[in-house]
Amino acid sequence: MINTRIIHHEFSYSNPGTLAEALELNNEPGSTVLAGGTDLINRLKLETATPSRIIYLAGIRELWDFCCDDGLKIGAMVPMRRVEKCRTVQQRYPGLYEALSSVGGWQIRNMATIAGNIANASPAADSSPVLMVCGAECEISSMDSKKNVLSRIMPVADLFAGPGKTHLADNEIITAILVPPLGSDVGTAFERSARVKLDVAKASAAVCLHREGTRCADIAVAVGSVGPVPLRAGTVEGMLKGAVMEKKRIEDAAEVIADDITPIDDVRSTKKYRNHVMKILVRDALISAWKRSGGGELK
Amino acid sequence: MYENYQFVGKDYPRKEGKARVSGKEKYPSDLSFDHMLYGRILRSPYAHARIKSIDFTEARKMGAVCISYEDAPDQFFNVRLVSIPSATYKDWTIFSDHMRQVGDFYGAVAAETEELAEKAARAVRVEWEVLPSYLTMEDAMAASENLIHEKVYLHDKEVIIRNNIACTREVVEGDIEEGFKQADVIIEETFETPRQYHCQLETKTCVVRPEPEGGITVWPTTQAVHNTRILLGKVFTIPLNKVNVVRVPGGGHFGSGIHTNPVALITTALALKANRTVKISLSREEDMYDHVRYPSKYTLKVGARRDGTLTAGHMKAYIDIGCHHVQALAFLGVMSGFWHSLYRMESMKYEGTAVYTNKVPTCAMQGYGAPQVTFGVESMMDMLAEKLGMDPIALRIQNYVGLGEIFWGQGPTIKSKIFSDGVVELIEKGAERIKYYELKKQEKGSGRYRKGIGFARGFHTSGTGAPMPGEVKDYTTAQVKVNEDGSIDILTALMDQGGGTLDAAAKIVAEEFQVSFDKVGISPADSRSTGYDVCTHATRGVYCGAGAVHEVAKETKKILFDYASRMLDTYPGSLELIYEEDTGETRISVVGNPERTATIAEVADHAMNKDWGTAIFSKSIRKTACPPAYTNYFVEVEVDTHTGHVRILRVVAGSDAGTVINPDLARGQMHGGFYRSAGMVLLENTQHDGSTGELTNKASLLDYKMMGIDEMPDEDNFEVIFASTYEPTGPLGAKGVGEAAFNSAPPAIASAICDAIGVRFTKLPISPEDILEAIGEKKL
Repeated sequence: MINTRIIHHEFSYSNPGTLAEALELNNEPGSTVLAGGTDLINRLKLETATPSRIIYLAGIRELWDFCCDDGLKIGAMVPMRRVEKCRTVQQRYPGLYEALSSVGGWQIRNMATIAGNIANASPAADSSPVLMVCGAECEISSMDSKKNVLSRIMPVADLFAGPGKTHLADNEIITAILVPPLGSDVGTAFERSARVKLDVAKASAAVCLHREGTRCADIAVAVGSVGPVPLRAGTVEGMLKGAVMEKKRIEDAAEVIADDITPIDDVRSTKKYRNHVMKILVRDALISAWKRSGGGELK
Repeated sequence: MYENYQFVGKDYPRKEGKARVSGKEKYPSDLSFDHMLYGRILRSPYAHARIKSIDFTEARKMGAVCISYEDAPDQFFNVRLVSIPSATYKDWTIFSDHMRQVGDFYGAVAAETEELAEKAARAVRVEWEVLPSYLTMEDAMAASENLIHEKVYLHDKEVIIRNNIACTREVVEGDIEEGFKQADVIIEETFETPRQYHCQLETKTCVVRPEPEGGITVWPTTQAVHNTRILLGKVFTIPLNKVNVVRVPGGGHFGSGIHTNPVALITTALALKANRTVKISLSREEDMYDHVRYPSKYTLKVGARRDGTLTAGHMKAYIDIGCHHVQALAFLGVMSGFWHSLYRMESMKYEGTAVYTNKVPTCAMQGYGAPQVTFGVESMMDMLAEKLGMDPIALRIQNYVGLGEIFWGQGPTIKSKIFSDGVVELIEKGAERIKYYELKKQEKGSGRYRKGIGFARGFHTSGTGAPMPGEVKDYTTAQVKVNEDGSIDILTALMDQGGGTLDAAAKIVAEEFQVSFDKVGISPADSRSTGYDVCTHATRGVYCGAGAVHEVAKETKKILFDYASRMLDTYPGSLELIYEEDTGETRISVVGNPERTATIAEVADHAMNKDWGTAIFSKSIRKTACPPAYTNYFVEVEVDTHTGHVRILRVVAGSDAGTVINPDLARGQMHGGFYRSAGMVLLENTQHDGSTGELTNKASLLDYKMMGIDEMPDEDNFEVIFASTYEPTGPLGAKGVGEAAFNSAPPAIASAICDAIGVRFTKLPISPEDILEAIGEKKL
């Protein structure tokens, strides 16, 4: 029987004040980092995480930085709620806003972080598909054996290796999420289906669409909860890229989403339902993103 | 009628409100004592197994106190003591070597910390013999060996179990064969309702302290302080004057605390063995393996004449009770009773069968059989109306059991006459408020979103009292005392489950004595200082419980008036109570002679100084009726035909509670009852994996979803109407609300979905997946 009451597993706990200290501690095998804790604490109780050391990142000042002047830079400790409440995010990145405000209740979002959400690598994570379509990147840091701090950038789309698995090395930490600026002719949208509002998505879809007149100049569609990792919907994108946008065309494109996904039956829903509802979510997200790109009512 | 009342029908801040909202209220899980040990329960990973041997060596090395079936009392009992002994099946022992579900318990360990106890529990080694498990009723009934129980006891008589059938019950009135012959229309349908989990806020918890003189003090999560005391005394052979069960505020029960939770027995066994205070709090997962609502599966056949008269009804029910009796016999009985009391039938036959399976034990939950039965019966009234070409509401008004008729409060042994009936008033007002007939006529169109309107009615019994003794015990003992400053204390073991039962008792006493609400206090209570109270269940809190307090208060008042008459040199019969709003004082005055007067405080103080005594009285009171607390719901929904999602747009709820003692709290009950019923209709169920017997959601709240605030209509779209009735047998005219708030909502929601998309669902819950499937078949 699983247990969400008692953490009987023992670990040491560190609260470093600088990134370098954190990275050094993180070189120790068996260590893991703690940001908002909304996933990690559950995993400790469920024993799907049994770290020998937990490194709490809250003491590192720069990880709290949130900048939204030219694109977004969201530090690893910035709570989702802060990003969600940002006017720039609400106006310029409505798809991101929709995804973030879908995550749990606000008590959760006051703690949870975007870095944590993607690092947890759940195929159902709400922020992953939208970050993928917006071309977001992770800023990643680590320390080598000579105690040099190393940094690298990785697209969010390349991060996921499987359910709960990322391509991060054991000693790497995501320090920030970078989202590029979007022009006024770019529209984003996020749709999800869940049993209730406060639930993990059964299926989710994110769209980022670049409009040129009546045409869709460029498009990215990503979907969640319908495969081992969040997936790009290449077939759907192929049908729309460069096309004149019409209602019928969008509906037809949404129909082929089944080619891009591999949903399963589980306790939250069925393969059959996911295959069906994903068409609805993709269609609704496409229509909404088109409108937000300034495309107006579709014929 | 409320103009006659000074306090009743008005809203005041709740007595325990400040403590609750400031986090100062201590629930069982908050309690901690010096030198306390923490316990963990040893549980089976298998759905059906026997234990060959247990090895505690490693656990003992960690310093744990260990106990198992080998060294705990092994007598049979039933955890639920509400029924009389001759109607009580006993199939429980504290521990057993025969594991009957995943999560069944064979022992427990206690250690200095909960973490250490958990480690010790994991270090216990067991040699298992895995048995074939029965995870469907069909499989269970087909089995002739490796039964879940071989023998059980009915009272003290041994009962041999065959084919895993726990018990059966048949109730017949009239001749249904003749009745169906008389019918012009006959319809038959099978209905299914889910194993809903109580999900009370606080998981089952108990603290037990062995006392130096040999007794125990117990702080449990319970709805029944006295039944817990009696069971613990019996199982552990401790004299009842040495078993003190303390009434602790509970973090919710919804019926899961009517029976003594196994955790109380296990904690006691550990505490006695360790001779230390022991506390056990279940994890949420253990709690979900501990108790769920009785599910139901039944075929219902109804015959009617063209004019809408019901000639016959036949209900054949199979109840998958899981691995233990928490009194399924009573459950089968109430199903028949609630069915019988919904609509007049010239003849009826009920056949109920309770089947053991290797699943979580089922027990009472909000409505206790009424939601299960009402769902099918009300759905069928809609179907019948359609077949007869009648208005479904008119059909109901024509046939419902109402004023002057006989009501079966809790099955066939608890019958009483109906003295108050607000059914028609509530239907008429509700239909008007929601514009039922206009909405019903509206075209559904061909768009993505379709709206539908539904209606259903029902009731719950107010308690289980009746003119004759039945199978269920029902009385409450109370004491009311006037203090020397004119304030009043109520002492009773009656539990308040959060609905405001004790506030209602205080308000009724305030009314009787015409003293302000804040001058009436609720004394802390435990089983040693109070007389028996059956428990707070069956929507009996206000009607029976506060009703008993009211009767006792009247006796205390007589004593007070006797003192006052001596003090004022007059006769008790010539006194009246006058509440002075400006001073907040209450005066006892001689009628027509206002100058002959004294405050209650002066009289009480005078009586003490003259050594006349204290105005105090205590008595056990049984109600000799169980009035139906009628409810109905009008519900408007919107179905998204693309995703299958159902949104509840608007609710008009009707409650016939007689005099409403606490209006805000009664409204809150209607909101809460509707809320959980919507969960039962759209979401909530626990299912077992067919091969492992584990819950498919791993007993985790992550995958036991309940409605949230986002799924409920906002307050402006949830209206509660109270009937203007007066229950002559109730305290100041009151009857119940509690479970009635739940019972009639599920069929109303299902009926609204049917109105929207033309599909009648007969199995709950109804998921978006089910709706899309049905829409696909119908080619909507």
